[in-house]
Amino acid sequence: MTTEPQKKKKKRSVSTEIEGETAATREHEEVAKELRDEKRKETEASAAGSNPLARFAPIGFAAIGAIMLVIFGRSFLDASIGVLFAVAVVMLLAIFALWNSIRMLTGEMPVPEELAAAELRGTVPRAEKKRSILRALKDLENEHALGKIDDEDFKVVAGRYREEAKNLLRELDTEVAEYLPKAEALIQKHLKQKGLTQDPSPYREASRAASAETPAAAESGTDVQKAAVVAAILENVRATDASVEALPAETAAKVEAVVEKLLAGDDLSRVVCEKCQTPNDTDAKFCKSCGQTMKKEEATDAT
Amino acid sequence: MWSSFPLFGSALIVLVMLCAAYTFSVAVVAGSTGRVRTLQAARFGAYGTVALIAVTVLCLAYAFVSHDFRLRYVSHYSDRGMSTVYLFTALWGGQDGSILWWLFLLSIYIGACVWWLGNKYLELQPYVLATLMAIIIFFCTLMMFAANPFSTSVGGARVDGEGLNPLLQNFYMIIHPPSLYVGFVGCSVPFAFCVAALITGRLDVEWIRASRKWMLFPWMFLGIGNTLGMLWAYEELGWGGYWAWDPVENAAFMPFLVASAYLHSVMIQERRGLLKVWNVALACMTFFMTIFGTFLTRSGAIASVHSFAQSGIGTYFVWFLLIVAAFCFTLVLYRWPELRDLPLNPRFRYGAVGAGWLIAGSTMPGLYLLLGKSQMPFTWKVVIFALAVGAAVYVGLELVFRRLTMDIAHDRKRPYIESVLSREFTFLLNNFALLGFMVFVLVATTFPMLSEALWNEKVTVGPPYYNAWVQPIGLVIYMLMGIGTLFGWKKTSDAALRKAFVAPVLAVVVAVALHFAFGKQLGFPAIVWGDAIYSGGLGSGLRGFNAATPVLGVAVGVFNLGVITQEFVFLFRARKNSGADKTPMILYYMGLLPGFVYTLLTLPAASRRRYGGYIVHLGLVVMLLGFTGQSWNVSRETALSPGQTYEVENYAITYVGPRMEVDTSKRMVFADVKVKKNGKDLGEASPAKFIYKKMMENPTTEVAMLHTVRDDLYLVVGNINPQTKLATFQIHINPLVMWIWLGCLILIAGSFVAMWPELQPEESRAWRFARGTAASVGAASIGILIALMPTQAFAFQTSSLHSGTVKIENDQERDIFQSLRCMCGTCARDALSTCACGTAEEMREIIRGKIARGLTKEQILKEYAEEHGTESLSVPPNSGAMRSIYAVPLVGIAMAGVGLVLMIRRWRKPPGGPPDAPPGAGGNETQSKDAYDKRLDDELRDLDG
Repeated sequence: MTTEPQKKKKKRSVSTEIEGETAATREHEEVAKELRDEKRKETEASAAGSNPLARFAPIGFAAIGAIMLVIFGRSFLDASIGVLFAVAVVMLLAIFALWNSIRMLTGEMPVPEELAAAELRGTVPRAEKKRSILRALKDLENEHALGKIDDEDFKVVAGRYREEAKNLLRELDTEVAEYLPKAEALIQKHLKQKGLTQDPSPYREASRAASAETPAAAESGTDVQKAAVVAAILENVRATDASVEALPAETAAKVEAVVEKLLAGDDLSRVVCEKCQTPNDTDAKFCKSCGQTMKKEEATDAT
Repeated sequence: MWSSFPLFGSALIVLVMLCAAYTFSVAVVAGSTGRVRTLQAARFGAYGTVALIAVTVLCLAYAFVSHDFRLRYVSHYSDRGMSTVYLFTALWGGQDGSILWWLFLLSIYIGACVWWLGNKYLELQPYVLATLMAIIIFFCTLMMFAANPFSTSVGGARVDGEGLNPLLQNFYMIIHPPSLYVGFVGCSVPFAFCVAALITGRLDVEWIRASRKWMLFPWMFLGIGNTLGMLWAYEELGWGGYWAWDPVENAAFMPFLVASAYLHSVMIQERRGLLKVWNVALACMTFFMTIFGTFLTRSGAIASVHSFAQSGIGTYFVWFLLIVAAFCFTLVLYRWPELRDLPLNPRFRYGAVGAGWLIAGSTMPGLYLLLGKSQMPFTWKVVIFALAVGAAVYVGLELVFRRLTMDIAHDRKRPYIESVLSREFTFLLNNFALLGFMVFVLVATTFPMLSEALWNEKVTVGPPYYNAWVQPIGLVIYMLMGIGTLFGWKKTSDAALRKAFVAPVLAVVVAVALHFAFGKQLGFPAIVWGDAIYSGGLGSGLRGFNAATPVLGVAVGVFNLGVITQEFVFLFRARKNSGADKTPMILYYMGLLPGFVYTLLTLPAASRRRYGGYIVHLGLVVMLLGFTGQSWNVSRETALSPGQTYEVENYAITYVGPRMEVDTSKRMVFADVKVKKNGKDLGEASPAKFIYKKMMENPTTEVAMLHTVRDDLYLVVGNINPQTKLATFQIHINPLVMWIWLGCLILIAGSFVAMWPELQPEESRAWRFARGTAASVGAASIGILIALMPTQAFAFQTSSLHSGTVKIENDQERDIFQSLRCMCGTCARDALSTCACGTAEEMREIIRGKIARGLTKEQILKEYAEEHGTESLSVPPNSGAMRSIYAVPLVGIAMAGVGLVLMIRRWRKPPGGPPDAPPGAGGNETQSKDAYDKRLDDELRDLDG
């Protein structure tokens, strides 16, 4: 029993951040989403003990049953036998589903990862509200474009909406401020997975800001690019909320380091030993070269 | 074991119930503990329940296929001679089976819903599942105790079953009830979402967004089902019309109205956060109305009014309805603070629940007094009832709710509307009108029951009553539909309004002028006078209005057309200007339509929904034109010998001669006719009489029709004299009927545009399209498949039996026959003008005699009513307590007015509320143009891909 909470915690370490806490701001949502997609792809590719497959099983069975029924039932079976056959197939499905239900209840069956990652109690009413205001604003813009609202009214009403939306954004940011470091870690991990050569599009805000501020960033001059990306990331972090100002030194260094490594083509799936600079596996407890205890970074341990 | 197959079937029903109960409890635990594992178990449980229901249905199918006549249901609805396909359709032919079939459709919805939910809306999921399971449990109970399709015949197994009534084997009969079922059953899903939102208190737009498509889909099928019902009545019943305001039809129409109101009012909540209580109420009411409709059609409560609660199944429905109502009522009160944006103080909850139940509870004794058998004069009953309710309201609101919550400080973040000239306000008006229409239909449908309970007097509310009132109500709704579109959200400036109204109003003016100028020449006069349904001022007022219906209908229709066209013109212009129009030109060259469709489908989700809605509106307008056509109907009776020609309007009908054909089950007598229109050959038609061997005494009438866009020629043959070959014909010319069916098709198309799946922006376009197409085509074909599955709905049995040809000699006769009911005892509520049974024929002869003696309509009606009771009049008389049916629409209109005033008062901007100008509009604007503005712009750009 004692291991249960631990296990849970471990599993949650990445995933909760993905689902619950970081879901609030857009860029983080996106990172989370891509992470999730990748994970899904992985699981689908490996297909070993994967639960998504189990989800498809009943429908597959039903489809096969129906096809069999049509093929065989027509040609050499009496209709009543065909129906009986269908009864048997569907009955098996029912038993299968109920059996799974009970296994799930007793804990014999693992919860599918997508679901395990989620929390039933996570509330994001502000994000919802933001969405609806944005929608209203978009509507208003459409209507303005269609000529339903004259410019003056549009200015007034849209101004009010914008103000409301901005206030919400501000609130959202204060809400998520404490999760920013964790998000940072996630971003690192993500950049790692993505590799260097790709456009850092998942970090859309950053790249957009970067290209807006320093057009040179788009070119391949690594220094310029690095500086721009780092600046943009930091700018973005700072801009979103004043309370983040408290951690710039650490964050800036971290971000800079990551970006530098990335641009230098470092393999970021490794962790560098603090003492001897030897790259180690991310889950290594000790350095394989000098035996130094590796500092473990939270939230990067999960697979 | 095998000998107890019926037992096995019954056991399966118990098993489904147990399984649903298990899933229900697991889901509730999942909801209360918030454990994902438990939720997953509940999901599997739901799949299991769904599969078990399928097993039950298949077992019943097996019983049919293997001719297991031990089962009463099987022996009742099939025989050994039936083909396999018909054996399957018998599954839902009768009452017991149709309840199982209902459950089966519900289970398909549940399966799809659980699948679709996946890991979305995790908070709502447990309670959605629980609610759906509770509904399953109800239907299982119903089957176990009152309508078990697996119950055995008392007399043991028969050698052969009774087989199907051949009259019920026709195409439209086959497709329309299942399509209504799909609509009815589907309303359970949005209801489940609503209940889940109420229980979890997550009453923002989340549940609305989640349930949107789940409402749109059943709504569409309700629309299709109702239209198919009209088509069936029109093509098969042979009385020349399509909608008789039969309680069965009304039962299917009411959920459609409520669902329409819901689909509109949720938009207000989505945009403005207003109307939360209203939306919750509408979602609950839609479900309530579907169950109520089933109750009306399946319990036999209204097929004939006096046999109320004759069937055992009615009681179950009544109890279920009561439980649902009480449950929803309590939940809404409990969530009062959330719904009204009050502080979340528990005292608000208890206050609301306490006050609500106090009021509801104290009306019960009053209701008992009102409906009970006490001998007290009716006026006294009403007075006592009113006093009791008044006192309860006072005590509840003032002494309970206000006292409890007086000292809770709260500055209410009261929602408000900026201006009456806004879309939210017109939507609200439209909601009122739709709901008012629903209440009108509801009261009129149940009025016979009410009047029997209240005044011990049996009455009938027949089509003339509905037809008279529906015209003003319907036109108002249509008008609001157009007007609402022209307003923008929040506030519309005068200039913009003027701009929006100019084109449609101009179109209306032109159309009306043209109508007055040329209408008569074209056979569509602008003003058509009919008969007044009431005597007195109200009657003549209504008659006056309805005389103008043709021109008003055309005006409203043209107005709406103008509005919709204008919307699309604006859309395309705006897209062109902003360069957003990426539709390949080739699609336009292929004819405008492909380009148009492509553009619609590639619109961002929110706009696509809106323009899909406009197309639905277009469909409804086209239907309105079809309905308006009814004003110009022409009906004639004639007897022709072979070779003779009869001319009516532009038609020349030449009777060629009779022809007889025989097949295994029936004799068919055709009367061949050649039709010319404006001197040109239009074609041949063969109205017929079919004489089935199983029921020689009741020949069926087969209508022959020639459809054109302008009008339909509708031919019914009455008698064909075998010797002289003289045939009597009923000829109806029904203008613009085809537009109704066309409108329905447009409506379906529009619904699909609105439902077109929303896709992730990162998906590639090809994949998007593939998936979107697959999803839509899949949904459509499943729906159509279900709709096309043959069935024989038994609700129409009686009307079908009594349909046939009625000989009516002139308009005076028609007028009188229309206002009288056939009182033979088996015809549910057919008027003398349509009922073809023997009794009706006798009655008509008697009345003809009276007309010949020179009696007036009033005298004839009076005598008939004295002889057969008040219920024999198809519109209740304008006297005594029966007057209340006249008052109902008027009271409704007054109440809607009061409601509006109250609503406007409540929604006025609070005095200390947000200021008019945006806070950022002043000097600090530049300063506030911060990083947030940029982010806002980016997010706006990314919204909806």
